[in-house]
Amino acid sequence: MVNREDEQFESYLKRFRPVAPQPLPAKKHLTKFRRPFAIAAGVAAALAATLIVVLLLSRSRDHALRTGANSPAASGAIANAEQATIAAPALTKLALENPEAFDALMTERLQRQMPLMKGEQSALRVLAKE
Amino acid sequence: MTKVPPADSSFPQIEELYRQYGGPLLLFAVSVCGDPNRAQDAVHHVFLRMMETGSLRGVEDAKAYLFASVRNALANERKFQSRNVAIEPERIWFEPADHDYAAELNLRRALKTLPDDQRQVVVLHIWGEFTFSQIAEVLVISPNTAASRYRYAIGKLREAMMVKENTNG
Repeated sequence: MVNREDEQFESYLKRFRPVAPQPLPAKKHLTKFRRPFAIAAGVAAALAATLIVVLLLSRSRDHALRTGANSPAASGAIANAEQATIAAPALTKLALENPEAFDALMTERLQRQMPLMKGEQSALRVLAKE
Repeated sequence: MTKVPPADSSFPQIEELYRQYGGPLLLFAVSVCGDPNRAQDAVHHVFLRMMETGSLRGVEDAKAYLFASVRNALANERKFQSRNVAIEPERIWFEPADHDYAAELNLRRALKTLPDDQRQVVVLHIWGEFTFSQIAEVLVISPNTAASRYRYAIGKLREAMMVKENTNG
């Protein structure tokens, strides 16, 4: 049984209120968690988009190259050169030993990076039709 | 009894529980481990975990669940801690009425003189507003044990505080 003195003492103790804890760091914590996730998702989306664009461009250029007006000599040189790696030492070796093949390779690389300007499917013709 | 509906765990609901029970939970944690910093970490840990896992779903008595979780968190942490005992910082445990900080210090010192198990019962009953049955559930003891520990504790506490007050006065 709790006597009267105890009750009074309890009332006295209850006048002391426990100190509140520091604010919960939940929002900061969750923001920290979500921010890298959002960045990673953004980067992944950007990479995927870039990959799709590169693939589409590559396919259209391959198609254009197949139908385009390339000289047989250059095609042969490109075919040979494509077997070589694109690394700097290999390119140097190719340039020293076979300047024509090197030139053809560089031209082909350039065509891959720049819009096609000749042939039936060239960018200029397609745009001119539009 | 604070019954939690089995809805999606929502942050506002958890934040409300934190506002409502944060103080008593922190005091209880201090009464268990004696270190306000560790106590604070334990309380935060329980709430953050709850937010991440939504583990309040289906909990019948949220208040009892929270106090038991804090106690378990401290017990688990103690298992991994080294035997070095941290020096307890002199931080206040209560907001004293009328800014009577001498009385706060008196109460804090008196509480520290109690054995751990008695101190926990007093904190749960006075500031956590638990019944002895609820205390029994949280501390995994019988209600009779909880009541008897409380009786011993309250007597010692009153004695200690009166002695201190007489000494101070």
